[in-house]
Amino acid sequence: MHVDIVPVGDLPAAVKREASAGLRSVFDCDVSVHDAQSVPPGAYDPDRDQYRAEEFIDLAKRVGVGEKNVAVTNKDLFYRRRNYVFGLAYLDGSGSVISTHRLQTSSDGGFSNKPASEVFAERVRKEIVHEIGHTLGLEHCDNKRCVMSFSPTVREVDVKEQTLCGSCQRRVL
Amino acid sequence: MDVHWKLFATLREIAGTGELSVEVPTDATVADAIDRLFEEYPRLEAHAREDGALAGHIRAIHEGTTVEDPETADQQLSHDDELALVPPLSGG
Repeated sequence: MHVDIVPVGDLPAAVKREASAGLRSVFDCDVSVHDAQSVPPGAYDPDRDQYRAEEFIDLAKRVGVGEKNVAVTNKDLFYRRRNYVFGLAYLDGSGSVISTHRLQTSSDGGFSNKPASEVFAERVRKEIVHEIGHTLGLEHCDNKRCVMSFSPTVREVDVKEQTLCGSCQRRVL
Repeated sequence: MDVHWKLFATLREIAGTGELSVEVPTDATVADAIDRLFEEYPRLEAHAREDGALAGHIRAIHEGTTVEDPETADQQLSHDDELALVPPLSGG
């Protein structure tokens, strides 16, 4: 499997590195990092001061060259009525997106004794593995330690591991 | 004739089941099957349809193939065909 990471907006090199490392560590896949793309016109919702996640997936599918194409952005994303999302993906599809905006350690009640930079890096790795897991056909997993468990806040992101549980592994690996 | 819907993620939660069968006329199209599904399960329609179209990038699949513009798709169905509605998975 080849995953193309499509950076959207001004994304630090460290984020691209962590995203690539996260994917390589869990899936037996080749990872490339695409040229950075501009934020899709029309994605911004001025009433919410946030960006529509679907538009980023469409962009990743349009420009990405992988079997799976994942947009990575630091913009604050929403999907329909959810206040915000860390990511969005099509089940069994080719496109997905993650946002690092709310993965910063200062936001939303996360907890960890590790240095802030390491906590942020772990969250990036978990979220990108999670979204690619969806595109491989995995839905949310009830095992809170599994990377496919649902994470409405960073608290749940910090609880889960970077890897698939045994049951999810057997379905995709 | 009967056709069989598979529902995923939030749609499955709303319906309380991942599989539903609906009866449609023998000359029914994909668009007709969507209408029948939503007639029988209005809570699904409230979530999945906005301004007469599938909302929020929900995908419709017929016999394993994604249907473009499903609300107007005129491809004919056969008895026991399998259809699916797949919303994007959100959160993280």
